[in-house]
Amino acid sequence: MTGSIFNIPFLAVAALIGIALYIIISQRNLIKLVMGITILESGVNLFLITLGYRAAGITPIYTHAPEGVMVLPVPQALTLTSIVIGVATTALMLSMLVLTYRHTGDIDSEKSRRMKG
Amino acid sequence: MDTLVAHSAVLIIAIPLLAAFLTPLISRASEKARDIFVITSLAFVEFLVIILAKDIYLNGIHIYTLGASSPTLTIPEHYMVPVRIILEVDAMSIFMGIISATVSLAAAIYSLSFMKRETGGDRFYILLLLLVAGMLGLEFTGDMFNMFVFLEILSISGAALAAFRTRFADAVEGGFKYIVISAVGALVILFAVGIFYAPNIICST
Repeated sequence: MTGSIFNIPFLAVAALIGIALYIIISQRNLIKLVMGITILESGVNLFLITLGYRAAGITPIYTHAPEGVMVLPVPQALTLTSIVIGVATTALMLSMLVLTYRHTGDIDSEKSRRMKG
Repeated sequence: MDTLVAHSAVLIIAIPLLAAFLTPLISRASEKARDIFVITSLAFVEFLVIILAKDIYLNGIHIYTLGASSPTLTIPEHYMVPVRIILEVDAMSIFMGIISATVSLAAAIYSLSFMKRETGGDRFYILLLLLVAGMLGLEFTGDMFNMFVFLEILSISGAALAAFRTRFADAVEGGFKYIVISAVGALVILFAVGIFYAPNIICST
């Protein structure tokens, strides 16, 4: 399994991260920018989960564990932490967008900017 | 004193984090008590950083294992792999720690008079203490997982502090730019942590 070139989840990770970086660079609507960051976060989370996957692995709980190979719990824990942090980041970005809209009346990145340079 | 030195690595991170969540409770009593509490916490952190620096200067790198029966026990008794959160403080970390603790204490003392002209002082001190906890944690951590967590604490509280005076459009715009750049950067770092971790998963199977 590990030697196969055709790992479909990794192709999905590459597609998600590519789409997200294209959105972040090209879009001028700031809501779409936040959406791009969320897609990038999904791509990275999918990458970590795919790394931690093992065929026929059992959950790493030691009490009454059946015989077999356990998966490492670190990628799952890292992904869970990343999801929680991503919610905080998205909430903060959207709240700043609300304030930007109140100040300037626009969420286009060219029309709502006040700083020059 | 020896106990304080042995546990100082985790106390330096834990004290600003706990003080951040105690600050709104104390400010219900009075603003004077809140100011004294914030300054006392940061001064105690500064004191701990200095005694830890002296210990590192004399005895070399300081390792602290969270959850172990002894703080220097890095490998658990019955397992083959070190599955624990470990703080590693070497001379470079404590050098940056001295700078961070001193600058944050000075910033808090300056904020006492500055925040008299502003509203929302409670939230300002919560964000400042979270910033200090993230900064010191980023310097003292011993693994990539916690480096990412502390980096995100640092960038979220830093961006919120940058946009703190929300009545100015410039402040909000600068905060938004900061959070976008730091969110993309932190996700790329998380991707790198995954790449860094992948050989270990395959070797351990």
